[in-house]
Amino acid sequence: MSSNMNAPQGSQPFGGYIERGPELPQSYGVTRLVILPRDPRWIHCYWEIASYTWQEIERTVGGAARSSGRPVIRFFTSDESKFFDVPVHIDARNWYIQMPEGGGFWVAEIGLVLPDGRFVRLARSNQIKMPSGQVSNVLDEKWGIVKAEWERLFQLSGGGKLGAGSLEITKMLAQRWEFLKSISSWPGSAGISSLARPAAPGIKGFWLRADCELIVYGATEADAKVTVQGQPIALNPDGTFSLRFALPDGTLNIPIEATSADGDFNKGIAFTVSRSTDKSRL
Amino acid sequence: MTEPKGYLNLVLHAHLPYIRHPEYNDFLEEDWFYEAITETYVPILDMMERLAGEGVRSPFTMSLTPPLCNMLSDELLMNRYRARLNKLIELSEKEVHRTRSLSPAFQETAEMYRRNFYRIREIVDACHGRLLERFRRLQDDGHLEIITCGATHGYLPLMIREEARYAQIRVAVDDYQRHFGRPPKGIWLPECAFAPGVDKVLKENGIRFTFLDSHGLLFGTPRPRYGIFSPVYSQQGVAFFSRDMETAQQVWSAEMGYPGDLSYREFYRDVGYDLDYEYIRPYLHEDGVRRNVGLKYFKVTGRVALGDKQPYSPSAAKETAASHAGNFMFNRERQVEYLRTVMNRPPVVVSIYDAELFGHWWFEGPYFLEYLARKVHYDQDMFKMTTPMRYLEKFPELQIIEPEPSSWGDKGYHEVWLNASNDWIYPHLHIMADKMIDLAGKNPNADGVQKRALNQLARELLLAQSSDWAFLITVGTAKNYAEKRTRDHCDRFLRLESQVRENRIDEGYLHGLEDRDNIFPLIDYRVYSPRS
Repeated sequence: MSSNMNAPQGSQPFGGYIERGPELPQSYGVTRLVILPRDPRWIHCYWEIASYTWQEIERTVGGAARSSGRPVIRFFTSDESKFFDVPVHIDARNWYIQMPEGGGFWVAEIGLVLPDGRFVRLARSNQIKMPSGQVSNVLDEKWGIVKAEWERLFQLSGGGKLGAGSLEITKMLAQRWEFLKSISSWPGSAGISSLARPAAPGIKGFWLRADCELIVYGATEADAKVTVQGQPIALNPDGTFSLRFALPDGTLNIPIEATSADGDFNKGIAFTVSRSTDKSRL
Repeated sequence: MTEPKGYLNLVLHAHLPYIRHPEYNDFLEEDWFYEAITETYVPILDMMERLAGEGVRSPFTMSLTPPLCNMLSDELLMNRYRARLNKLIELSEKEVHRTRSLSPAFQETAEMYRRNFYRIREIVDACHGRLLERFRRLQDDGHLEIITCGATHGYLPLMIREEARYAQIRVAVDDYQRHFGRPPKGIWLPECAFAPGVDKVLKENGIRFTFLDSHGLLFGTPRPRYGIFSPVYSQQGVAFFSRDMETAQQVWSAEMGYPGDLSYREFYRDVGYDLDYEYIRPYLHEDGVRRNVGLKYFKVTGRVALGDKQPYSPSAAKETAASHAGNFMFNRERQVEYLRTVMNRPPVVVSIYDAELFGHWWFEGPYFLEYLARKVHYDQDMFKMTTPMRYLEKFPELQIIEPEPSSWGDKGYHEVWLNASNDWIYPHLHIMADKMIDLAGKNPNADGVQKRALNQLARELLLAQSSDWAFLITVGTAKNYAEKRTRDHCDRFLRLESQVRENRIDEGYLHGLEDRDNIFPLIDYRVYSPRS
């Protein structure tokens, strides 16, 4: 990626498109599950379950499967000797999943765990290799090296410290630009002086209002206890929940805690959401 | 000359996404291309030709990506570029006149711009706008190793069909042959992004070497004997070189990087904002909005407001570039010397940069490279500049390692191209690849309109796959444009695909797409034929 495209917003204040382009299909009528590696610990999954698959399930397992089954994504190691389940909400259509460890080959299936424990597969994914995120323990006999020398070479090689690529320089330049803007009264700096832009023709009575809100949703075991921002919330019968928040300018912290019915397990996810509103063009 | 104790491989990655809008007279995002020609590509070409002419042995490695090559050989874009360059020349003439009454520093800078712009026009005119031919000659004469890239800089680890990865590489290799008259030996993996299986596709396409970010090699299996200072082979026999962090930091780092020197040119103080509106108006876009036009008269100066910047001095800035080159060389000598205490073969230090850093952001960057090449050639014999192929010919015996899946992006893996802001792209790209492979399999011998439609489908899929769109969405720069480009290419593909499938191709629609998205004129859709 070339750095000259990384012009921080300020340098081209009115640059680019407002036009959104055509809408794309929400679904393709094809049952599929795709898993993609994001980094050593996270996998992105997306899926679509087409109506033909539901009909097939109804025919082979019975109509109750869809309502009584608990939807999960089941991750298998490459030899399928081990697996673990991650509960998902079928309608979410995509999910980021944290892995217990880096490395290894993985494949996944999305399906329903029936009340009797049976697993009904809806779709099977592609196979991926996850990055390990660390120096290998495997040593090469033919290319041996004494430990102390390797440690020096490791440090000289950057010590596994990660990249200084295009995004870094973009951030750096954007920070410099913000800094310059913050201390400059130069008309060029903000690039939005009235001289710089022909005044937009004002249409009397023309108006625009917009606001935004936040929706938080998720799922856990149906009998778990869940708090959001410290307040207990009621789960839907299938363990899902969904909350709507006002979203004023500023930063909003939304910690979510779930405790299993027997109190033995506790898990948490926290969101930090920030909003800023620019009304300079109203 | 005695055998050097080590080697330096300087790699410049030159890339822009394919941006060409014949439907508009004046299109803002095309500026990236025009600015890069004036500020980066021609100055670097000029610098390499000068070094070659003087017999300085300074072989560079440079990726010229297929989208960039297609833009550089596009008649419409190059004609537009020439018109832009003529405007810059006109402005610089006015500026030389205007600055006569100002301080000598401004006059010196104005004259530099005028000299630079005329020089660029001379170079562009001498080859009738075919700049790639001059790069080709440098390669033919042994001064430059040109490598290719994914056809549209598509992000290979996030493609799930081998056919999709294969097409990105095959189309790139064929396009390289068309421009440079030989097949490429090396490739810059888009975003330096590797996943298992990519090397197999490289091997099939005759690619001998590529690059990884440092952890891509350092976290490889088994543990690499020489860290990142020697290439390795993958199981498939493709050589992987790795980026050196120390040299990356010396140029990139916000705190200690060279480009922040106080005597260098300040990027953000531009005459597009500074000068009287009526005076500068003819050099702005049709919308009349003030933007950077490329002439800048002030230096970084320090942590001061834009209004307090001091005048730039081209001669003083050149001296700084020379001293930075000296510093860079000194540090490489020490690095090589130290590495030899833990290595029983000469290390190769691989320094990789975005080409557009040099000249565009770091105005003095091309001078820095030129000084560096001269100093390395004349002033020392500790290390030599080399290219990957030369290193491999000298040291063919390498350790075999499976590289770590990785990229050179923020945090080292795929998150820049796969996060909540841009993950919506992939369900579309994957289904399009499935449809393309299916159609290629069902129509192995298409001809006439059907063949044209299938070829255009391949172009639209490739263009939709450019990693640039996901990147721009993450960074937030030109986000709307990047989202629209993704949707446009997906939409065009899906419409045309149903026309092909239902055997009702709208020739007018097809012709419109061929005219607009005209990358890879010789593409053959059968690169997507299903693989067993």
